Amino acid sequence: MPNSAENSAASEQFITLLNATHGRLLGFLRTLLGNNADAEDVLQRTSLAIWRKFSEFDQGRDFFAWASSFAFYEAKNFQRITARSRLHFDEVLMERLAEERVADLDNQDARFAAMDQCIEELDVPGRELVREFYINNTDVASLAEKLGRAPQTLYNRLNTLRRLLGECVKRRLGHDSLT
Amino acid sequence: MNKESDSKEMHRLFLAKADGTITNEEHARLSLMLHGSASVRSSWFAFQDAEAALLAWAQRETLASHAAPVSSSGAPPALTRGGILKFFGALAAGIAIGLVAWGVWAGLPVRFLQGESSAGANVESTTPSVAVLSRGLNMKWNQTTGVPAVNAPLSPGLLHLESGVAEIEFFQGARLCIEGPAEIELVSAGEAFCRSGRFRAHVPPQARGFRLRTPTGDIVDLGTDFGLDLNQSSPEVHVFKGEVELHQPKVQMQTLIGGVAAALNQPGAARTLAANAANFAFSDLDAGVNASQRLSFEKWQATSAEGNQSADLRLRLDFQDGPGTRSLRNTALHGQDIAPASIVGCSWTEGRWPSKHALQFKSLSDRVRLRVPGEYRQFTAACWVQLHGLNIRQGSICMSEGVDQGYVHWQVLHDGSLCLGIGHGVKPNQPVWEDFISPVVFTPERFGQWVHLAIVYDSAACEVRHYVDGKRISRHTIKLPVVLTPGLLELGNWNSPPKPEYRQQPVRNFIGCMDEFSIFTRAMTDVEVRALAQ
Repeated sequence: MPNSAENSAASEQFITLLNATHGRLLGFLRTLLGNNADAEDVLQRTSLAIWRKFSEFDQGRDFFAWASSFAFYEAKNFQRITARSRLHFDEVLMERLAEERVADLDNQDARFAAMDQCIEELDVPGRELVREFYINNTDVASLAEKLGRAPQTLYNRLNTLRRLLGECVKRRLGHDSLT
Repeated sequence: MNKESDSKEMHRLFLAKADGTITNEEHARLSLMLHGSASVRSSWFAFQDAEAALLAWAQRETLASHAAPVSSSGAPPALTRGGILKFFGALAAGIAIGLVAWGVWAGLPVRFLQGESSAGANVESTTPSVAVLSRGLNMKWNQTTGVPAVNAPLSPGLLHLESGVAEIEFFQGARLCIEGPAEIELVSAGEAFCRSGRFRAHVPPQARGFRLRTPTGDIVDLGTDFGLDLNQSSPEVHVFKGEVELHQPKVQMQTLIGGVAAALNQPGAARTLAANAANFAFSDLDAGVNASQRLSFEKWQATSAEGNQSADLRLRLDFQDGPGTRSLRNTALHGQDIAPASIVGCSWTEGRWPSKHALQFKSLSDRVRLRVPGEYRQFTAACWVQLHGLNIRQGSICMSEGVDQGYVHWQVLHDGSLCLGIGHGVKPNQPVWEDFISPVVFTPERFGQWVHLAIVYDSAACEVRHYVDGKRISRHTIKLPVVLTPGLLELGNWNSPPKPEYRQQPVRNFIGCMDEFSIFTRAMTDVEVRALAQ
């Protein structure tokens, strides 16, 4: 059994590294799996897998690069298990997305910062609708019931807001010059 | 189909995939689109980041609206990231590190911690704050429960002072001195729960009714001075002036008057003691605070003198020219070709310490003008500022005059975020500009506090980094690196190009104080910026 002090130091280091790459790993998995719940699920499996293998991690390497290879494998594994209940991207597409997403993740922070500002541009009812939607795990039916609205009308309104917010982020990052 | 409807259809498929409502046929179509186009894949990545950002925002917003007090256990808020937290819970059980960062999205922590910002929105701003940390001496705070800054508003929640003395002013007017080690939970603008430590309270008439609760009874103040010692095996309350009520379980309320002390572990006992003011002398902070401020100032002077020799330092305005002068001297040894900066408007005021001078920017004419010649591939700018408000769209920290290629525009935006804009030239009549916008930094809770800001333009790593108090808060990829030519600059204001069509100047004046400003000719690392902020 490993020395408990050593074990504790390794755990601490592991948590620090995982903490620092958590957002990027989740962002990586989201693009392969398409939604947050599955990405979180797979990230949890990935965390356990890399913790088990952490003693083999070469400290000179980039932790994200190392961890993302486990994440990719876990994502494929997850797809195999859930193949009957969900629609999945094929393997060639998964590989291509994984490869391109690694470089694309450099834009993640800027997109988050831009969205933080774009959301402030919505009016109060718009913001409240968006907040409720994401907090309630995107369950439109119960949200519609709570607000006394038709589910489809509500969903359409929400999706318009999501599209406008996406466009706002794009504009802020690309063209909206503040000088 | 035209381009717009293509893009709408693409987005519709993205949404259906994310929400799990996608049909077989739609999924096949989406896969085909993703296979066939790098630009669709790029949009898919941006879409997923937008979804992640909205989820994180919704969680923060919900937490903020519930005005969750600082968690006493140091555990992360329950609303976040269920799966992975369970994993961490098990793994971290025996490890003494806080997982405080988990409650918020990496890189966007400030806003949640500081409360709600709604500048620019059509709702009134609110704050959960109930008190302010007015001053202190040798304060060492427990890292898990949080380290408040002097002048920082305090929200309900636990404060754990490991050593030193802290003075808190409650919004209802009571002043409480705390000697560490002490644990106190702020409850409201007129109430706190003291778990351990020694306390001395001054309660003016307008704060009558101030209540300090303890594990063995509550003290309600009727306008007075009193001390509370929870460190002894038998906790005691000492009344120096006025009157307090002592409420303890199962016994009748006791009134204690000036000069009297009572032991709290013997409820209802008639035994009273003589109040001992000498035991609470720690609350006399004036001399200690003055000495400590003098020491910090002297340390700053020594560090600045050494820093001025640095070959990378192009400009340092230390603002020590002082009242009466209308210019600021560049103290950087390797920037002696830079003429003194001229002060327009602005009034002199006190900086971070009583002997430190600062300039106050209030009106739209206030500014400091200077010219920084040269071309810079790498660039770091840093300053100490105290922001007093956000009532205009963009407020200048430091801006090149005009919008040409290589020009630098560092600003505070109306929502409290920071923006570094870099000019890419004017074509044909429209300035081309690359903006790097940080997450929200300044919420009303941060107004009036001295804050160290820094930006790094790192063309080698192809990124821009924003720092607040020495901590990196965001990084942004530079799409097109340019050589920076700051040229004619204004601190705290902006002059747009002197052309006939620009007769009306945009209002960009900074509202607050500045007491140091530096420019370095290379990209500083995280560690170096942290050292600058100390």
